[in-house]
Amino acid sequence: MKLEALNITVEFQSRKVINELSLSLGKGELVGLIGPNGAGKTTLLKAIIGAQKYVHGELTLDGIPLQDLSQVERAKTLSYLPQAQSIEWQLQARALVMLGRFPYQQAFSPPSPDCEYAVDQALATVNATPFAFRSLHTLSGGERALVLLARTLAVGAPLILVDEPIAELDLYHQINVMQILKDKATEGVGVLAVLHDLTMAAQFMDRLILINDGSVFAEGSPKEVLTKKNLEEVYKISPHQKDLSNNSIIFPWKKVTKDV
Amino acid sequence: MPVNGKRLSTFSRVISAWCIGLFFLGYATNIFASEGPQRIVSINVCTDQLVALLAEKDRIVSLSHLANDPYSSWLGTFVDGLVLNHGTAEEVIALSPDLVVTTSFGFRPTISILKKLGYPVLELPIAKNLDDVSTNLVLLASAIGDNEITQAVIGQFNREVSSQTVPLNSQLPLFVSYEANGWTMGENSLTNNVAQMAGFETIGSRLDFSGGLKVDLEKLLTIKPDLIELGYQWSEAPALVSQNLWHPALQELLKRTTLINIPDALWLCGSPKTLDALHILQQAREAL
Amino acid sequence: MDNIKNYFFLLSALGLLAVLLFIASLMIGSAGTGFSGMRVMFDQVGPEVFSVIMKEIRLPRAILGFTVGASLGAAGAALQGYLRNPLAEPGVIGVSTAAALGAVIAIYTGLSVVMPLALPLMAIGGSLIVIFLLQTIAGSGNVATLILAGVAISSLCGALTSLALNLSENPFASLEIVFWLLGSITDRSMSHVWLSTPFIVIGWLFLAASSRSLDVLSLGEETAVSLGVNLSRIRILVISGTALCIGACTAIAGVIGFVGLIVPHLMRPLVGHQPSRLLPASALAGGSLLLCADIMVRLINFDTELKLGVVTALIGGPFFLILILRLKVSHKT
Repeated sequence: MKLEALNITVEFQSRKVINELSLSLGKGELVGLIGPNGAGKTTLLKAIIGAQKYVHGELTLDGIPLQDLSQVERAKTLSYLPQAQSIEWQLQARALVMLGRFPYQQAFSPPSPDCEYAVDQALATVNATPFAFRSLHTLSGGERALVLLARTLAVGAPLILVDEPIAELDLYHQINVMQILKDKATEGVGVLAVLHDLTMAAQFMDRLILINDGSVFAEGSPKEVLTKKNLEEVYKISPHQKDLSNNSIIFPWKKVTKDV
Repeated sequence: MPVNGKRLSTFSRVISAWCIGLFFLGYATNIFASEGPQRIVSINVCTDQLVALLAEKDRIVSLSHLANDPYSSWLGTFVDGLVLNHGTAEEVIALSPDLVVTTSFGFRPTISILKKLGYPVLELPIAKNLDDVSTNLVLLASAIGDNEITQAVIGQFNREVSSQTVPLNSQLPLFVSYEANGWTMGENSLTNNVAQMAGFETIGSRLDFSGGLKVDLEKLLTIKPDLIELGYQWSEAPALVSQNLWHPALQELLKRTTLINIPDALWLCGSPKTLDALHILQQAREAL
Repeated sequence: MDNIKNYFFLLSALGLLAVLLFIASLMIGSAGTGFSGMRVMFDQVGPEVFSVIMKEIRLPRAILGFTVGASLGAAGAALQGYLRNPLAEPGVIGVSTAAALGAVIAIYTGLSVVMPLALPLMAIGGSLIVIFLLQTIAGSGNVATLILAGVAISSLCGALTSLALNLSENPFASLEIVFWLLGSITDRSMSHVWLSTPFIVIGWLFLAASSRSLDVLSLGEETAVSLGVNLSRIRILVISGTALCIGACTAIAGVIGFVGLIVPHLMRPLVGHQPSRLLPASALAGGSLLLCADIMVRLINFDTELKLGVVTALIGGPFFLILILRLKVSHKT
């Protein structure tokens, strides 16, 4: 299963938010989508799942245009986790995860055993089984994030798009979530994750796509993308960078001054 | 407004003749100059009718805006040429009246302002029976100045009232005036007293209440009225009122009771015209 | 699994309650209450009038008590789920008042005399327009925006209703403002039942068809789209379903407030806060609540009957304030 985006352009009031952007996500790949605020990362994800119209370009799954797929087929293939999701109702954790099985469920009938199984699996994957029957508002931020991730996994989609999955989490939960995503990729799921933490991105991602002003600025292995020059130009910061054997740690240090 | 032509009493005819005759006399000879107030203003639909009966038209400056509403008043074209007021103090003062006539019900703020400013205000109580009508006529007559017209009107009315005989019977038929949205009047009201004079048991005495009461359809069905009056139907200006009359339960009731029509204007206010309502009821009683 | 069992137990209990209240409603009235009262009534009026009272007065009243209450409950639950706003209630946000305005225009212009269907249709039209307006103004906004827009629309429609009634030449029309703004199901007839029920049932079906998607919508619009929810389909289902229910009910019973607020709120914890399960539970509980309120209206005093909307507002007003207070607290923490 391979998702390809070709020359996608999204306009907000005739301003190009995404400009001729192309990317691909294949089976078992763990791809990080990075870039400053307003670069168009979230918009791109929304365009892929069909929640954002694009003025031109093409989205294909194994060569088949996405708009030729039914909404249900598309839902079964692409799973999406939005950033900082607020849930108005105090749903039970497991009931929320079950919503991930929506594309597989029939109207007015209880969930099939397959669905029940998939939900239990998803909860187990994120280690959320102990609080599966608790109400959402009684969970901590970290537990809540795990439940929402389990909802995304419960779809059982071959491709997963996650938007800032670790933004509001403590260090333990950040690594926990990243590890879960990595495990999923090992199982053969393609993962596209929007990230702000460049160290995490460098540590866990196979490939990074750095976007700026709606276009791909750099793409490649973390080492290729996270260069001092790229960071200064795109993020307008000078980092402290420490290279490890096959990786690097990045400390954002100060703003770029004019003379650089 | 369907006025019951056949039921125009001799009384009304006498009054009409009186009025027309006197106007012509007054205008033609210009010797017609009654004593008392010359700029009479009535701000209530009930006092409109009494003023119109007792005062010469050239002494009346203004009547209430309901005076030519066929539903509430029988004055009709009498109001032509008169100012119709809405009972606000400003309007009344602008008319510089030397007598303001109203009932003791409603227009309280207007009345208190007028009194404070020194305008003479006559407040007539709401008539709850024909004797009250007579009393009101006398009160008004003395305020506008007693003369031949007032004496004739009052004399005629009193004679007609005293000539009525109330049929006595151990088993009186039940009469109900079922107004819009289930409103009925109870004891101590004009409708109930007139109905009693015509020889009916009233809903007020049957259900033991005075003043207004909302009676729902199932209650109405259980008390089984012998004669029912449904008020004016307002088909030209529909409202829920008119719709509710199509209720199947009411239609069912109408199969087993007699329906009569008494124009509301006759007894909404107590006036000599109320005798016409009495006559309609008396006839219906005989026909039962 | 246990969950589902509890849920069906809840629905059965609510259904049983509604049936009991329905029967109780048939047995209460000014002509005779309870077994003995009804026997006295039977002896007094004879079998024919007795059956007229039962079939033409009490039966339509009981049916409308349930259908109107159920519609208000279900529409409240659906609107709240759709707008993800616990304060969205057809009465509070002006949908009912708009329906009343439509109905008033239909009746007082005489349109409904020529064409009886104009009554529910105009009322449904009124609520449709307002829901669309609200969705445009405050669909994606926060709780407060919706309520404020609703309050403005509600007072505007209320004022226009009063204006229309004042302009009528019929002196009783202005007295009927009370009916339209406070609601009542006294002395309604079977023709009212026939006039409203088809629209109400279609409305229920629309809402039921939207229920599963409402669950997914609690994850937010984008996630719902990613899960295959057709947003425009849901919008049409919820908006027209609500308009059909509220319009048809208001055309027959006037504005009855707060049922759509209290009922879903009470039911929500019992169904695990799931919008799809909330719908049937709110419908049954709403029907029961209105039957109960209508029974109270008749029991409290036979002489001057309280308006149904007064009873629901007496319960609902304080309830609404408490709800706002609690929302305020939970937003602070």
